[in-house]
Amino acid sequence: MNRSGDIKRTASPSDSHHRRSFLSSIGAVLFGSVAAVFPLAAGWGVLVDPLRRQRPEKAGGHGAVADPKFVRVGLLAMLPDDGLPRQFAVMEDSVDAWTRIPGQRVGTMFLCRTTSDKGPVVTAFSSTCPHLGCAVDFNAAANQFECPCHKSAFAKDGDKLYGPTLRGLDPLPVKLVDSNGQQEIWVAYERFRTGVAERIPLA
Amino acid sequence: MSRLANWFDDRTGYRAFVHEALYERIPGGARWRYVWGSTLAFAFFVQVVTGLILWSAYSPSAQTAWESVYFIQYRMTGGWLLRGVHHYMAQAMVVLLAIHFVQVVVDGAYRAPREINFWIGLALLKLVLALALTGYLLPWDEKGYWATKVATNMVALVPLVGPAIQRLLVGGTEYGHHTLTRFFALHAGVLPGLLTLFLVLHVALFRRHGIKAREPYRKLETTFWPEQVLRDAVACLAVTLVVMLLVLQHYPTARAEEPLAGQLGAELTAPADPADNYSAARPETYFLFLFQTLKYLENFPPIAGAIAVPALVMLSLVLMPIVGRWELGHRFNVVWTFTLLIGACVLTALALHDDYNGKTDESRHFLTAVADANAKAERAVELAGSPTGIPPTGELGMLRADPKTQGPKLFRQNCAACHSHAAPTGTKHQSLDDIVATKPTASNLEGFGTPDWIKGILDPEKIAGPDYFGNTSHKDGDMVDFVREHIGEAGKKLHGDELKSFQHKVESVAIALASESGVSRNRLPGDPDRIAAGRKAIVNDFKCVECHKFHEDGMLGNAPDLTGYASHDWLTAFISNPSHERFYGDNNDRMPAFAAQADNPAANRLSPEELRMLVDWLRGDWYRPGETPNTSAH
Repeated sequence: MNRSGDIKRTASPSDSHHRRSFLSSIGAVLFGSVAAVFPLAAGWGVLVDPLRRQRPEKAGGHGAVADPKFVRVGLLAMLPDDGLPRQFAVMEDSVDAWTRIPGQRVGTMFLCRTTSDKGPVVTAFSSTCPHLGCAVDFNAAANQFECPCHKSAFAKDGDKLYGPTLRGLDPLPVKLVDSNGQQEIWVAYERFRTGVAERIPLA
Repeated sequence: MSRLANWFDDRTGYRAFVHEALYERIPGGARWRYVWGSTLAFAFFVQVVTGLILWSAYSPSAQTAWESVYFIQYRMTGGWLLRGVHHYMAQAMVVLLAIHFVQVVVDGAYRAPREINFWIGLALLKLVLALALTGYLLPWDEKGYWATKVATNMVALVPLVGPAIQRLLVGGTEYGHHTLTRFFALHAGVLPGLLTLFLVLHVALFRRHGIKAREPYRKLETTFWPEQVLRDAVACLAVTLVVMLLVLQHYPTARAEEPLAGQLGAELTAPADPADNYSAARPETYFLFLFQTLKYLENFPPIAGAIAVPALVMLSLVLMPIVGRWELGHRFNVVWTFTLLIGACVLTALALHDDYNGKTDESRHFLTAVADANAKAERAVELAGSPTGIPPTGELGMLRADPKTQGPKLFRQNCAACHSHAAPTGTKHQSLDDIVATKPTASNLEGFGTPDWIKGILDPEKIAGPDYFGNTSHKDGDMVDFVREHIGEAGKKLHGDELKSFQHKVESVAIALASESGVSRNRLPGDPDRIAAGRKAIVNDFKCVECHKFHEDGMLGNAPDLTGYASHDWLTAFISNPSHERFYGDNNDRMPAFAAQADNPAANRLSPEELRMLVDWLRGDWYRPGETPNTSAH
């Protein structure tokens, strides 16, 4: 601290000095702010990187069919023809930042098989509760899906029955694919934003 | 000595600083009611120290977070104590905050000129709650994972910026490594840094205004040191005592067969599995009131309960110093504070009652889910402590490859439409693990391949019953006829010692056949003679080999091969294709082939890995603590 200098300045003020002092203040604030913001600016890219990164393209399971969004769940024969929803794992190559694990169980869904005039019909619902993202269970006794967290309930066709959810369970597109003389179930697994009435896919 | 002190004071001015710190005036004398702020500062100090030590052993990534916390809890010296103190001190901090807050409001210590310090206090409250929330996720166990998922989904409900904030917090759209690294950076860096900053400001402003002494004064004015410091120190010790009691709360009822470290201190549930429903997800106790609110808001957008109500409550707290300018406003603030507090307590009690009453369906589901979660957590710890240890891919892979964990799920999904796996029909014993087929059309496979199970199929009373062939096309088959005639009718003709020796022989057959499976629990130790006698009876006395193949005797094609009956290889081949000539051939009832195409696994219902786990589970062949892993079977 240059104490003696301060005393001199107060002793002989002048216009040029005032001007210089004003410019110094501006400069100090300006340069100081830039210097202070510098480290945050240097790290800003990493900090907001998740906003820029898209979800990695799905590898499409094993032996992909035309649409890469669909993943193979298994044989149609696995699913009894009784209309009761059963839970299945979604197998995908999981990519988590620097780790890539092939054929991982990344989520779950419910499959339900019925028969129509045209043959077997399979419907699929995501297990994720559209309210706030807990995993719903199927209660066979009450014949409805129930969320163990905030008590939302859904009918077998996915419609909301009661509870705080704003929409029904999220249906997933299903394809039956012939392969080696057997029918396979393929599902396009997707995640949606929770807590809203509309179905907005998480991109 | 005093010369040295003078020299030091000349250059630092420490005496004035110490004097200011220690000799703060306390009008009306030191009192116990002034300790709460100090206990909070102390609690934060404990969290910093224990947190830094935890940091030295913690590794934030999806494959190492649970694993490193497991290692702290179960393997490191006193790890359970360190984790327990950090966990329960966080809980204590929330309670102390509530007390401190109530006192500040009741004493009017938020009114002019202390408004700004009150707002700093509110910021500290938010920071403590944020620390609790971020800390809950770090062990990456089921409980923290699912509860935090709900919390970050709530963040996304904030208008406009919500989804972006959620994404920045989570480090992407899905939970993973970056969720942990970011939560850890917040929990151990950003939030404690901010908390320290605000705490310094809080204490500095508190000192500037002086203590808001409670009137009427009981005693003469005193100073902070030593009278109040003594009371503060005793209070801090009392807090540690309460925390230690919480850490050790399960010690008196600890189960001897489980590791003690798992029963003391903070809970560690099984590693988070995004593909496994966790139906016992609940937030920490002090967030239960918010959790309960969400349940009641039917037909309201979740944003109401998750964002709007908490924001309005917070706003009402922020406005307190302004409302409190008038005496009536102050009274309102006091009433409002107690209303909020009692409301939160009532909601918490309701949430706990909903879950633990044991009478409603929801409660029963919840309690079952908790029991399942506990069993899974126990199993995760068993596997992590097995000689195999935790592989670099993490503990979750071990649980996913564990027959004991996956077997029941695979059985439910693939077998339980026809087969039960439960205590035999008519027995009273009912276990949580029982899987009862909705419409049994095949045998009950509980204990399949054991001497008892085989004794049942050789029992003329049971073979055509619901646990064996009763619901199948074999009900009127040759085996039922054989057992009725050659065991049932033949036994009726015998009496006394002859009958006994006949029954002994039938039992020998069951034991010999069970010994084929090769599982240790089925083998009768030290009785090779009995097994040899049973084998002889299979071939010579009962002539099973007329239909069945048994080692060198008999032929395939009529009935299932008894060589290696219920062994890993036998059962794998059987489930793969029961219509194979080695098993039922053309006589197979309705059992589908689950893995008939060995060269094309994708065309099979069960993958080789699933089949292995199902077979091991049916045979009771899984790792048990105290055993070396059984690798001979596969």
